[in-house]
Amino acid sequence: MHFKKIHIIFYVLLIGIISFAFISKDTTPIIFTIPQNWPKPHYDFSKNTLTEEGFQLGRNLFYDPILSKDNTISCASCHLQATGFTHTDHDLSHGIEGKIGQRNSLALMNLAWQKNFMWDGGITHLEVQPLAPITNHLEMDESLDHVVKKLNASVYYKTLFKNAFHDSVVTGQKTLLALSQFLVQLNSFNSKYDKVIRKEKGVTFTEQEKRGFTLFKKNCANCHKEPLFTSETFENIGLKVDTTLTDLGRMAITKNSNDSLKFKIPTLRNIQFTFPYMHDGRFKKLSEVVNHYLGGIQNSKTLSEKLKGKPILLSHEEKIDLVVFLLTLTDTEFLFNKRFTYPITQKNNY
Amino acid sequence: MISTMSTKHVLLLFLFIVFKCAYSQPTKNIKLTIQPYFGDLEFKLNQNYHQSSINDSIQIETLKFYISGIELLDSNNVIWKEKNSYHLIDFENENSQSIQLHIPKKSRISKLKFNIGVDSITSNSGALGGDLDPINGMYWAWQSGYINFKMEGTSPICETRKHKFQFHLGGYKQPFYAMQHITLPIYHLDDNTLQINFNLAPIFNSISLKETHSIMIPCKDGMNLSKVVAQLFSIHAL
Repeated sequence: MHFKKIHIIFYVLLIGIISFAFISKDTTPIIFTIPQNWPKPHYDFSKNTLTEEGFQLGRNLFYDPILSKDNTISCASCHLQATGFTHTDHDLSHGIEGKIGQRNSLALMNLAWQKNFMWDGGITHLEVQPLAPITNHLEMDESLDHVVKKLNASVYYKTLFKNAFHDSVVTGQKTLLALSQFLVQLNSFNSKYDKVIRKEKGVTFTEQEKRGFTLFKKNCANCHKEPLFTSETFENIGLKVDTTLTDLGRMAITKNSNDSLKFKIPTLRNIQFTFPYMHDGRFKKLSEVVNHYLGGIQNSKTLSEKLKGKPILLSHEEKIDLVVFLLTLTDTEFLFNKRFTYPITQKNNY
Repeated sequence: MISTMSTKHVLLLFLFIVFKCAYSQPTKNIKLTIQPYFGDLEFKLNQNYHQSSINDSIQIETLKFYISGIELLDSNNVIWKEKNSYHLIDFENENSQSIQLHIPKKSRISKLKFNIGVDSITSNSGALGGDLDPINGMYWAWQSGYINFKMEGTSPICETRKHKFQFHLGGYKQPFYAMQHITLPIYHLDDNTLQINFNLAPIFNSISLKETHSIMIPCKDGMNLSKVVAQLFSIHAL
């Protein structure tokens, strides 16, 4: 009796192994590359194995307004590739029915290295980040439950989910995992700065860029740490409180008054195109940002220690040098990478 | 795939299966059910209950919470632990009110342990499936973490729009780590069902709906109410 049972189990296992070998054939694995001299990414790829099919599904979802309540707004509405996946020209980002949000959308890049998301760091895992814009009533005003219902009613998406997950049943988990597969691959590491650091042939800083880099390392790199150009921390940089918003930043999450007016330190990669700047998009030009640090800092209890004490003094020429260096963080290969554009295969009828 | 598998591997796999079969213990099923009450009355969604402490009526439209980390103990020794133990109890879905436990047959059980809510590691583990799928409306969006306990309803005493009250209790970071540990004694278990009674009425004795009608974030009030919720469970006395 026992022997027979063992036999059956053995054959079942054998069939299982064979079919597994077949299944793994029809998805195309993607190997995540860590740029030279970069830290280990924070994202755990073991729980969301990257595949071409998963990436393409995520890409479709990212560009599809199906995620919003009235099917009008997609992730890409506020996160445009050519501008570093953020919304330029708008201080505060838009939602459905012309609603205006409360913060300036953040640029999306190198997300696998991020621990905290949003200006206040309220979200601590990339996979659950899309829930925020999907459900915010000023943004997409939708529920994940309803998104999944809409996706399950679409033959187009059922096929994409089957390709990616070997199962055409759409779930919230799979939707979020697929979006993460796309997001986690939006990586920018081919700017002029990167090429100079990697000592690539024929790429060198100009004298002006070199001077700017020196100024940057002295005055900015403490928070905007290389190579990601952020230290992943929260600081109050002394911006005057905008009383039309009265945004307390990090304190809204921690409920700790020591975190009042602190916001996430954003990356400076592709900063040339991610204007306007700051959580409320108050500065339109990089020169305005530089000027803030030179003379605009408002003192308060939670002001960053790094900005207390002696103010930064830069001459007019030095300010220009610094901005010229910041322009070397522009990565056109990333901004125009065809893999990240609107998927032309996307059907309009679901 | 098969050709690359050496005879040695097949043999090892075979031995493993033999071992597994020889040592697998016979199991039995225990049905754990959650029976809600409002005071002495059986509780149902969307029904009026009179609450004497406020001399007014209460109606609950949504009531769901997580039970996790189910363990059975004999005195102080854990004799069985459920794997991947996360259950969403939703009173709109009757099936969710009973949980099948497959436990070793010859177990002496004197205590039942479980948590109300989701632990901090799981709360911060990204997109999960099944009962933990954010599709269930039990994951906060603007801030990571599960809602451990969700109760929404109306009472004329609430001076709010449509007299609504809503309590979303959760939080996985100190000082607002809201998950609650519960231990209940089991005196005897003969027909393999274990009924847990869950009485809602004391919630409304501990808070004044006139003043507290909305908790939507991890906070001190939420912590206090979570502790009250932890006291609402008891084993049904036969």
